[in-house]
Amino acid sequence: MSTKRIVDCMGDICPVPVIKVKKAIREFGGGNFLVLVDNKISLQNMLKFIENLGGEYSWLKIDSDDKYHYEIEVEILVATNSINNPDEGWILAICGDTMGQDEELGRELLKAYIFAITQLDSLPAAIVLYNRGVLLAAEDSAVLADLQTLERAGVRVEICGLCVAHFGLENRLNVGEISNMYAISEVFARAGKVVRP
Amino acid sequence: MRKKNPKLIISFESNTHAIALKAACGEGLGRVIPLPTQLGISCGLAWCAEPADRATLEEIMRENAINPKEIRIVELYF
Repeated sequence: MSTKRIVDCMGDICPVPVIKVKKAIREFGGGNFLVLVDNKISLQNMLKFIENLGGEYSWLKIDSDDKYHYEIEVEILVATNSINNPDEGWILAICGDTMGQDEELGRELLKAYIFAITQLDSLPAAIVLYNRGVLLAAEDSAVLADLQTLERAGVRVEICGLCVAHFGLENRLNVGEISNMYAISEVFARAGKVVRP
Repeated sequence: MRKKNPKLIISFESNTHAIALKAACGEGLGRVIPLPTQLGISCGLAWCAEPADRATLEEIMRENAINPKEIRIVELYF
């Protein structure tokens, strides 16, 4: 059995845990790791990061007194540099909840635009929501149903975790997955084309 | 695998009629969408609903003095 290396990310906030694990994978060329994080967003980001690398994981929530942390067992067979992977089609990057500067008109335009995306024969590989764009994934969003339609059709909806925390949306997202700037930068780097309406 | 399905599309002389139909219908009888290119190339709005709801929608439009420009079945991804 190979040695399990501990990556202690207690007290670290997004995206530091992912950076630490990435560094460990590069340093040791894959293997088994035990990653310790103490917040849910870091857990979600880590699981996503490991999935993107093709690794396997299992995790436990450990409660002690009034505190808790997560232990994530990770197995990476080969250190993968996903930045060098071939492109994965086109990516839609949305950084606002309006399309253009007039807010009232902009909201209607964005609604129409997201619906129009659902009607394309060639869908984006992913939609990345950041800054006020994360508001589109919230439970009261006017475009939520169309984003859910796109997700069901196989489009990944990646949401900036920092932005979610900024707007206090942690428990109000009804589509997509929380992501981090590392994963987002890799999605952009792999894309054949990034479209920003 | 995504598949196109027949939808009832109603276009209007003015976008205000699409908004008025939305107000009259509330939730459940369709939604406003950008005008599909099969019905024109304007930037206008249209109403999208299930074909089975045509009679109900025509009645609502009559009651609310909403004038449709065209009513057609269009295949859309849904």
